[in-house]
Amino acid sequence: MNTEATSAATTPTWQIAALWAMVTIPALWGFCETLVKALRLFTG
Amino acid sequence: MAGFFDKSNTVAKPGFNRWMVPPAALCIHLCIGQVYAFSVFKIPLTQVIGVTESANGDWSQATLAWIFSLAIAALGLAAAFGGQWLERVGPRKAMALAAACFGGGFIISAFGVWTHQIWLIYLGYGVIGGIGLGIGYISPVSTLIKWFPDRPGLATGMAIMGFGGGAMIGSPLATSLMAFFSGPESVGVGSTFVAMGIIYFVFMMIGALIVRIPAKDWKPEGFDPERDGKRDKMITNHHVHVNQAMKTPQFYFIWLVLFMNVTAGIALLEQASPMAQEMVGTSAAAAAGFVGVLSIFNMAGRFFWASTSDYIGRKMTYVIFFVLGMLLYAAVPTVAASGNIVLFVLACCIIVSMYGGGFATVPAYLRDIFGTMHVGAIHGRLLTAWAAAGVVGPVLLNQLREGRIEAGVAPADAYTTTLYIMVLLLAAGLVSNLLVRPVADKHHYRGDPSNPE
Repeated sequence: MNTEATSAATTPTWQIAALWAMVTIPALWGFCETLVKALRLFTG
Repeated sequence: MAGFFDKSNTVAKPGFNRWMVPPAALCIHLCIGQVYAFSVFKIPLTQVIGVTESANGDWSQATLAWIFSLAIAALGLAAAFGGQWLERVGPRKAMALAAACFGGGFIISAFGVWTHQIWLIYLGYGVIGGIGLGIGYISPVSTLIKWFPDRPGLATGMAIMGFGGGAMIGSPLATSLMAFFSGPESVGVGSTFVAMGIIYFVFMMIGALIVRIPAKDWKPEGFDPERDGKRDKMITNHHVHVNQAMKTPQFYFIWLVLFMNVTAGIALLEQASPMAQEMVGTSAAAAAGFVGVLSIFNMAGRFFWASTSDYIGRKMTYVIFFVLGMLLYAAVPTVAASGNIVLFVLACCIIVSMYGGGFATVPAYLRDIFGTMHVGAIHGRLLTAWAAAGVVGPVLLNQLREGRIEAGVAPADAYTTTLYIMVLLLAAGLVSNLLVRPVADKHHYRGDPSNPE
């Protein structure tokens, strides 16, 4: 039976990291844009 | 090439790490969440001919409002009717279709802008793009649940948080692209549509190429469904066919749970800006900032509450939504009357976090009650509650508020009755949630769940 212990050993970590970076970087950009804009409007 | 997209070719080989799947799902949800940011195109689309201001022949706001409405209607229909097809063909083909429809919808809409034919935008972004939204929304859900049977709330919470976060990317992206493409003779919307169509198609296709479904006998290390099933009787180890699920009271109770939660949340979101201005006296700019803060809590709530539900149970999570929601909705008029802006904002933020949390927790709730076999298809049908709430919530709020104002009540006080009615809706949701029980044995699927009819 396939388990995570075997999968972690065979899927390269850099692939997982690259994939997560690909989705988190634009998400963080959008989050920061929204947060800064919201706080500027809300406090200003 | 068609074979590459077949379900049989998406089964993960030994060694595939399941943490590759959430980002694949996020590739889809971060893109389709752009629909919530469609309003950034509204003003530019009213100035396609006039460029600097609306001219004769330019589209009105009322004409443009149909684009979003059509997209949401198509989303609901595609999710409701496409779910069973999705379960049959697998997530990769469904995600690829979603990418083609959503990206293609933008491209068709670009031609609509260039030729100034509104029907092309209705067809492109509204109908075809809306189908992409619906199929895209449900396509990774059942796959994630199958990869994370030990943490289904966490897994679906991540994806559905992406849908909430999609607007945060879509809005500044569209604004930047329109600024880049605009000039003395064009507002740049057509070119922006083309660029966004290509970007979103590529991003969503990456998700489609990466996604895998687990092998038939795969389970995470240390996960024992039998043990978990005995620990919590609300989590079934059986499966229910989507058509059979429609014959169970549980489906309709959960439908009402989602409907009540979304109706109350939408009613607040819809009126957040005027409420802040009229109830606590903020400026219009501060109210816009308040709406931005709410969108962050809407997104964060999706991850927080869905993940929390893995520990406290789905039913208890919705009990918290309804009980805490009732207390907060009831408290908002008093807090606003006291002029305490911080408490007012805090109450609204928690309410909106539970609105987002309701969306993100419901796929795991369905999995607990109906099993994993057709959870994507059942989820698709349940999303009709979202569409219904999208109509009922704002209409109910506006009608009630206008009725109060016509009766001579001050605008700031007109919200009070509405908020108290939301408390009643949440009470109905709580009752519905408490009525959810495990599905009777007669509804369980007797065939091979890995190859259902």
